Amino acid sequence: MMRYELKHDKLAAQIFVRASAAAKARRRAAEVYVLYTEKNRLLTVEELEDLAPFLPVLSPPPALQQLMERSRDSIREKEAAEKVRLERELKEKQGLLEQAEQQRKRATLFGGVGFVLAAVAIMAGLWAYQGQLKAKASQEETEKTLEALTLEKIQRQEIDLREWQRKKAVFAKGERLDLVEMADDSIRKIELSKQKNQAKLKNPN
Amino acid sequence: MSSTSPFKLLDAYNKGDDASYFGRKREVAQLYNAVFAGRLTLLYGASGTGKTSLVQCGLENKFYPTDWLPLFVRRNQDINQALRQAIATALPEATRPQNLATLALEEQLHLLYLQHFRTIYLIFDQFEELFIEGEEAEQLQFYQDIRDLLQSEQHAKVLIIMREEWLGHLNTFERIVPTLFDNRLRIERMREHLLWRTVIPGLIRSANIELHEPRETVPLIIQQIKDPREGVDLADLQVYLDRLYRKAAEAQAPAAAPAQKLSFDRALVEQVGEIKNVLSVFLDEQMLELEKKLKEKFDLDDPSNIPLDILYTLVTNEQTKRSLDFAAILEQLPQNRGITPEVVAYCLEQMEDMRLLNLND
Repeated sequence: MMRYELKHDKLAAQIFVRASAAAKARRRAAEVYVLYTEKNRLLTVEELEDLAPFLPVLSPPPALQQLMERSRDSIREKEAAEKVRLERELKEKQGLLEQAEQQRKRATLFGGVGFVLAAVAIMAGLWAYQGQLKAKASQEETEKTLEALTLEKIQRQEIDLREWQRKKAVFAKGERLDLVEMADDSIRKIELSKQKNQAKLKNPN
Repeated sequence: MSSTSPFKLLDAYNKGDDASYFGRKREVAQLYNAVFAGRLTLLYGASGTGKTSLVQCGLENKFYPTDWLPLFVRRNQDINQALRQAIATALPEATRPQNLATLALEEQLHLLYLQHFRTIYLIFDQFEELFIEGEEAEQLQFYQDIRDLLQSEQHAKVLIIMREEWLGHLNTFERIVPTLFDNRLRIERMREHLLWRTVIPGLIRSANIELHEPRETVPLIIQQIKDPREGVDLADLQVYLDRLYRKAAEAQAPAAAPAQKLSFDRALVEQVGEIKNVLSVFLDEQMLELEKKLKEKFDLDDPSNIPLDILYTLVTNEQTKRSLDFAAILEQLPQNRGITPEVVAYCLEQMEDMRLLNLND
């Protein structure tokens, strides 16, 4: 088959520069259409946008017009489906967000109560501890007092014992046996009490 | 009209143009040595440097016809088909086996060799077309065929001619045929001293035109068309010489004395003046002329841009030429401007006459 060809590539460059926008758009449309027929696919948004400015001068053939219309419909459908999907997703996310907010509020509330309780518990503990310390101090004080009293009692009993020893000697010298007996009895009682006190001093409990 | 011009204009030189082919002696010798020495040669250069002419005229005339059998292959729709078609055409019909198409490339070449007993030179011109419009599968099959051919014992060599800005696309080809760049030759723009010493005087005289005051006229021609950056383009030079020719014919050879020999001189060059983009002006003039003819012949209200739209169908998006048949051209034209098949056929005929187009088989 006979084929026509330019005589020179330099001529091709000159013609390309001079070619009208309509001619270039027509070619673009044809290339896009070939792409569609070869790959069996609809046009993309970008391809439709490429063609859009030239449509007034293109007078596209019916097949291309139908293809563009079908492509636009398909894009619209996809956009609508995408919108629905996004809205659903948005709603789900808002729901999750609200749920998370409520949980956060609850957690804050429980956290506040817990904090107060914990503070009270700590205070009570401190108070109890302080009470314990006080009680302990008081007990120690009592014990010290008791110890001092016992010591004092023992000292007095020793004085009493020495007094009764002296009296007994006087009574023995005057041969007053009844009184000597009475002094012995007192000495014995005082001695017994002193021993008790000494034992108490050694083991207060 | 340019159809009567003795200059080549945008045509490449071929074997018969040896007498008017100047300035490439050294390159022809280099190319001859290169193709003689190796089985695969790569010839590249910028657009308009005369690669095709170097082969079709320079190399072709360097070889004795008994030394080589050149097969010029252009891709058209598929380079592999085009190659097999070229082989089939070169085989005499009587010797063409019925199963030729099913034979491997090597077998087809062997058959061809047996018919001619000459080394077959497969010359792939405008090889960049394989990258501009070719599919990957087509490219791979071609690379593999060439690799197999080079590894075989066939008496066949390969010459690839392409524009240098497409060299980067040879990467895959080189991976399959690692020797691709081993035997290469770059053709450069014609040097200015060759233009004024040899080429321009030679072109004018071989066109049977007298050249007066060559020492002034030739430098002035160069000055009128020289691009400060690119220098002188050979296509521009051809178009400018044609313009000088037409001006001289208009002024010097009236109908009363058609046999008078035309002459170029300084005054004529000054009259035509400086045209920095000669090809561009040439194209605009031809388009206007054709639009005018369309209006008269077909009574079209608005024929503007119709010829340009037709030419544009023969241009790729990469601003290179491509070949199309009549139906494919018609298919790409707008349907709303009343561009009938008759209008297109007329325009194509006129464009051939204007030497803008070739009609190839």
